[in-house]
Amino acid sequence: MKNRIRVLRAEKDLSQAELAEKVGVSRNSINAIENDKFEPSLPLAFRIAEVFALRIEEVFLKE
Amino acid sequence: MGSSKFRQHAVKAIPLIIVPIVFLASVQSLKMAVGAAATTWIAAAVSIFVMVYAWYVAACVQRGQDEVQAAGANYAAKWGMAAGQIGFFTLLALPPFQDLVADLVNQPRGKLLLGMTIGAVGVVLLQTVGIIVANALWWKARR
Repeated sequence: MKNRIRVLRAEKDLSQAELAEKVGVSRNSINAIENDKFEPSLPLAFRIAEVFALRIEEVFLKE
Repeated sequence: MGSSKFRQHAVKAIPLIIVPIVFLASVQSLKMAVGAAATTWIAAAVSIFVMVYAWYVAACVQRGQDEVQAAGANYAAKWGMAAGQIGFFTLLALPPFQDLVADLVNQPRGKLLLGMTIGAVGVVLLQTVGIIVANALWWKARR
């Protein structure tokens, strides 16, 4: 699974730490998700999509 | 995990290192002071303390972890446990380690080796039983 978190963060001028705080995980965790090293659970994926006001499939893409 | 949280957990884990070291360092003098039987009971109490306290520290570390950290901890526990067991059995097979422990507790090497082997095999067997029971309970709760 790929994701667009890095691009979306840049568009919103949001740091990894800020996104991490908004969704309630650590900055390292956001880094791992952003770099495709960890696939988030559905609830966390929804929370991340909510921050960007997008649907989940607009943030996370099936390879 | 932040560095301050890591420090907190590290401080909390100090008794896990200090208590066994103090016990091992004082085994001989304990034996002389209170006798072999009482020392065996103290050894059992130290073992139980270490196990229960390790459980408590693990619970403290797990509380407040997010899912990525929890996945990391699960990975570490799974492979760390296996590596620890293999490491212990390897140590157990080395004569210098056997001599060291035999000297420490002032027991003949053969007797000590038998006791340690029974202990190690017992731990592995009970862990296996524990895993089977926990797995059955997990599935029962999800039927």
